[in-house]
Amino acid sequence: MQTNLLSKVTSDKSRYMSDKINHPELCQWLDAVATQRNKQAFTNLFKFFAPKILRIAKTKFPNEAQANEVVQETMTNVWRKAHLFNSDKGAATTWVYTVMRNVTFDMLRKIQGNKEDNLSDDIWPMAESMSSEEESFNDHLENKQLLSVLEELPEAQQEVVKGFYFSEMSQEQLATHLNLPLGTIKSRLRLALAKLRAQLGENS
Amino acid sequence: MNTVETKLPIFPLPVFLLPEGITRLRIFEQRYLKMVKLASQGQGFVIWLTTQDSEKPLIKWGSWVEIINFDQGADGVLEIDVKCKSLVEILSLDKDADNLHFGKVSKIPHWSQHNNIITEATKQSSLHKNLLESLHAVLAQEQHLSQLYTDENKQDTPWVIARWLELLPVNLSVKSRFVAIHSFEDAKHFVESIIN
Repeated sequence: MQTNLLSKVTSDKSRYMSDKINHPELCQWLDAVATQRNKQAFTNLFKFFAPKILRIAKTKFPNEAQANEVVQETMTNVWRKAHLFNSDKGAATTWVYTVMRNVTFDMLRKIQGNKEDNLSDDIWPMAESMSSEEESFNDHLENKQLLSVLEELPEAQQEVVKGFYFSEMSQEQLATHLNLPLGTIKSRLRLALAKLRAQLGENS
Repeated sequence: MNTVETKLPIFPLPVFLLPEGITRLRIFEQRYLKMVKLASQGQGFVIWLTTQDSEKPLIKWGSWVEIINFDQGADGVLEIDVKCKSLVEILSLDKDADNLHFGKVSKIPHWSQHNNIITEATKQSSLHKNLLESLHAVLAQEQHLSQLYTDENKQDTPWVIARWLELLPVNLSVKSRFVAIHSFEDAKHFVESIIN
């Protein structure tokens, strides 16, 4: 679906714009970039194409940052690959929009691959279910109550959270860093927790 | 004790962060993008340590953080680095039209902000040196941490204990024990019994 939409927009655009676009000039700029690494020519190309690419990219990506990335990636590729452009084979606009299309596909593929990263409300339902009025805010620092009110996240979510926020190490990482066997780390953690529980019992 | 109340955006997360702690967050939900916008203009926001179980009463404290850096991840998602400047008590909670939480908070003091709780003897002890060295090794070796903690000069014991508590792979409910103002000794023993 994306494919059809995109190529349609692209070809429409180049046909429509061919009335007003100075094609020989675009070709000269591309040639100057390819043969002399001419920065002024690239600046001209950027000024011409960037707003157009951004406009199209915004229709493909919900996120403005991603649309901007399309612009950046496309123009970087134009700079790198300008020598591959052949004015006999087609208009400069067509070539640049083809570069953009490839960038867009790469990014869409990447987003597909990252789907599991897109945490949302279903991962944080607790944010939705709380109500502010009836809860009392007393004793929030009372240790015993804390222990009773908190529960561990399900394991799968912990994995996601660990990969997602860099706040905590795994037991394996800790073992590596301390140069100790994993079993030692596990038993130390167990002992430390048991001791803590004992202290908690004494204090209350 | 600071009893001034401030109204701040609240971000519920299973992230344990004590004063001076730094972590990186990825922001993609619209309401939290809005939160970042507000936070960067104003006074930061509060990370509210939450867990899955919403039936039971929830903790009423959070980590008041300021945005100290931001970047864009490889996938175009906004990444912000935040640093905790104080723990706060959450006095009330509201939601706005975008489902973003706001809360009235007031600062609560924490042992990690008081270096004078440490005696000179403690600073010189081999236990402390061991904790300090192993922490610095971890911060240097883990790329994401070395990016966050660029200031290598942190030596004082409360700071070291607080960072270890954040990093240790133990239940959040256990970590929450060490939010109490007088829990420093407990925290120190706890960390030492695991690291040394």
